[in-house]
Amino acid sequence: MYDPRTPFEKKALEHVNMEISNGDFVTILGRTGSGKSTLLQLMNGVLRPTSGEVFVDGISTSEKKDSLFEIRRKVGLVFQYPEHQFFEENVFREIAFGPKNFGVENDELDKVVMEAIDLVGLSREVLSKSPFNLSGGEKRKVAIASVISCNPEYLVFDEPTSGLDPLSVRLFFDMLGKFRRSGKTIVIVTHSVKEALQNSERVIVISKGQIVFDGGVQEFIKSKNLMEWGMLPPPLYRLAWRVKEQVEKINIKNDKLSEAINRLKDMVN
Amino acid sequence: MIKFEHVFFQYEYDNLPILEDVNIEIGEGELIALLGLNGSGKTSFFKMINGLLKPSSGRVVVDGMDTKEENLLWDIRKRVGMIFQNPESQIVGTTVEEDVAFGMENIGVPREEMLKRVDQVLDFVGMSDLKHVEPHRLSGGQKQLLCVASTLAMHPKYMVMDEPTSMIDPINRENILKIIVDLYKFGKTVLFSTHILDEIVVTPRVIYLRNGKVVFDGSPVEVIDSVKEEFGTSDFIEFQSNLYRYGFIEHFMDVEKLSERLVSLCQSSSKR
Repeated sequence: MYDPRTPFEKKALEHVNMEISNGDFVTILGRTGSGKSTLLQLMNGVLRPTSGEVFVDGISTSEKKDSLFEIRRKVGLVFQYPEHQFFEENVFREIAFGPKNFGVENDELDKVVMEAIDLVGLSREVLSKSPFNLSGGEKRKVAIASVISCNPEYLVFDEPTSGLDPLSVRLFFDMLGKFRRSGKTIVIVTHSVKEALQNSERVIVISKGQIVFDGGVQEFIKSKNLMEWGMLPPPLYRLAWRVKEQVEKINIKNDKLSEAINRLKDMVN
Repeated sequence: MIKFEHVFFQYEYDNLPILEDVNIEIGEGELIALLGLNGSGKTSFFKMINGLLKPSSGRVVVDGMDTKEENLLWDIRKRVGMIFQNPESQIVGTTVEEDVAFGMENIGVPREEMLKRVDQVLDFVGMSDLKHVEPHRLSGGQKQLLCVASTLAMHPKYMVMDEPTSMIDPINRENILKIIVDLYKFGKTVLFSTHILDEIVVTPRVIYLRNGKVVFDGSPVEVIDSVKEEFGTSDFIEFQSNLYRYGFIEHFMDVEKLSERLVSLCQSSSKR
């Protein structure tokens, strides 16, 4: 709840019960204003619940300050607008800031920064530049690198791919694949049903502050409630749904056409 | 007409060329999508058109006016409406109505006409009922629609939209895309950049920038075929590329038109 007991009181989330296990890859979907970002911010104690509790590896985010330090080290949060996170004079210092706070120094610090840069696919030339002079996509990568450099166990992303070109999106998910294989847990908030379908196994849908769906991706895409939740299925799915019923009884004699139609039918069957 | 003649550009603080020898003509009434990877120069390309950036060498000419001529900038900017990626950065009014009126006041539109246009453009973007709302209460998608409305109210001849759909949810994205197509149908010249490949199905022409150079300029089918290795593709586009290869379609289409086409193809195939 934001601003409780004031005229601006606003319930952002209600009765949320969920568990994210180690090694999960979860996508959280929902419309603008559904409470997605609030949910994310509860995960590393940027926000704390008005009632109820959030636990990270058994530690409650509502506990005293010392444990918050531990929680924030475990849960790396990448906000939606990366430029909001920048404050250093060059990219190197920006990425080094986090690990330095956690006590990493000298050669080890250089190594950590280089690894992070390589992982997100930025060239080393940017290290000496000001993060404010980069393109939108490069800024995003620097923001991700500055979280990865702290080596968190849980990586939480708020709309990580908005504004990224398709190649960067692919590289981004390749990168998440690497994290995943190294045992990290990944949570992503996005508008993109397509990305959820292609990359994660579990989807959580939030609508008006409540979890309205929590299950596998196949189960999710077949749900009839997508539009009601304010979500638009990817265009090929929409095409498949439109075409399927109308051609159901037609005996298509052209092989290539029949192939194309079958591809569509397979998507929604 | 908008003309780029041997346009080179680099920022003063940096030696990297942002645009390199760009030569392009944009005719009246065209709808063009600008594609390119992050940092390929799309935003700089757009900022050239209304003189927010000036070429380091070469010329950008809008309806015969060179953007380097300071005394012509006012006229150029009246013709070129710009919409930026982040709607937050261009909302100034304290209500939706005031925001729409702001630009018009600046260019001296008479009051009666202003009131009329406010209603027109808000109706066009589907926000008439939000006229008296404070902009900060709007969702991201609504804010972007407001920016479109405020710009349209000034009756620009060219609409230049820098990733207008990148920060909003899919349903509002569809709204913006529909508005882009409508503007084109009404005869406006529209340029927009996007990273969402599926959006290029609505345009007849795609310009592709690579490291500040225009490397492809043509129909979406042709351009995508040439750039999919470096830029990536989507299942929707790939599906349509195959249909194109087998001669089932002549160009990319949106979901609605494509479904009609497929159904009619199936029907005529079974009759044969």
